[in-house]
Amino acid sequence: MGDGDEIGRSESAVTQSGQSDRPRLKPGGSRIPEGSRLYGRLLPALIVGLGVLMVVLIVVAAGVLLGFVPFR
Amino acid sequence: MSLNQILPFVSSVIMLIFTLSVFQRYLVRRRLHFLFWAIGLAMFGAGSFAEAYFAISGWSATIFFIWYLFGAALNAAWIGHGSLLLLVRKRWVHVLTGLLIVGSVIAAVLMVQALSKANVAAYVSGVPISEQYRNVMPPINQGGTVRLTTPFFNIYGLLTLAGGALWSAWLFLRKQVLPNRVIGNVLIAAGALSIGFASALTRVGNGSFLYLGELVAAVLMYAGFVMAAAPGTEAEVAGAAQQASAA
Repeated sequence: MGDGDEIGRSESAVTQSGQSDRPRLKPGGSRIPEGSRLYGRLLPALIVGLGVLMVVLIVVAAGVLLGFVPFR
Repeated sequence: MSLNQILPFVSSVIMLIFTLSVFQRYLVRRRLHFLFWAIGLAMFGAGSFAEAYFAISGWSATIFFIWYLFGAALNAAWIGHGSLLLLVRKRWVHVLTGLLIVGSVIAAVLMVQALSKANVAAYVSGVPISEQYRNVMPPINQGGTVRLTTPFFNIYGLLTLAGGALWSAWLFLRKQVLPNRVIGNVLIAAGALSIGFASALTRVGNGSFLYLGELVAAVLMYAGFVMAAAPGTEAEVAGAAQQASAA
């Protein structure tokens, strides 16, 4: 639920201008530090892990709905 | 007072502050996704408040209605739909908006029917409602049809709320911009998944982690929202000032 509209506009700005490989930012924005282990390794792994957990939970909920998981 | 009596109170207070914060943002920016987030968060807070009520008081059909409909069935779908409105600017999203509203009304009607057949005698004071609602609500084939709707709303909510936050975080990370929004969205996804995990445990018969899951969700999602929204503040203030001067 974090604001994602900014990146959308940035992407279109980059695509249309073709002059920059990095999106333009609002005045309050900032860039991810290069070579950061947090942003380079930890957070991507966390995103993938949370994505897997999300899929598992959806499968469990669907299993309840379809009767594969006991409905109590 | 036991932990299960305290946790819903704390969650309610956090969700009240969170809801007001998001609703204030809606009043300033008039964007529909803020309204859906605020409504969904208010439902989440109402569910927590219902748990807090049950923790210190006896049976109430109205509070049980609020707890199940808003706390267990609808809130994730409404918050998640707000995320979808933010991320996808297509007409078909408004069809989903209509379906969500109609589906929510149908669920409310089914909940009224279920309440009329509830086994109130099975309610035990002092036991968390998440651990005994199955004894109170009628089975699906005996008037508890509303229970069938809950997985639909929760799957939709999980997919749009957690999926939307993870997708946003991934986009920002890929573009190497706005690190606060990467972390903010990861926190929001983690919060949504913590309540999703606790709800899944409740659904398969273990409701003892639900209140803790709600508190963790409230804290993580609020922290994520504050973090993700921070850099926009300057631009919003500037935008609001422009609007005021143009008026």
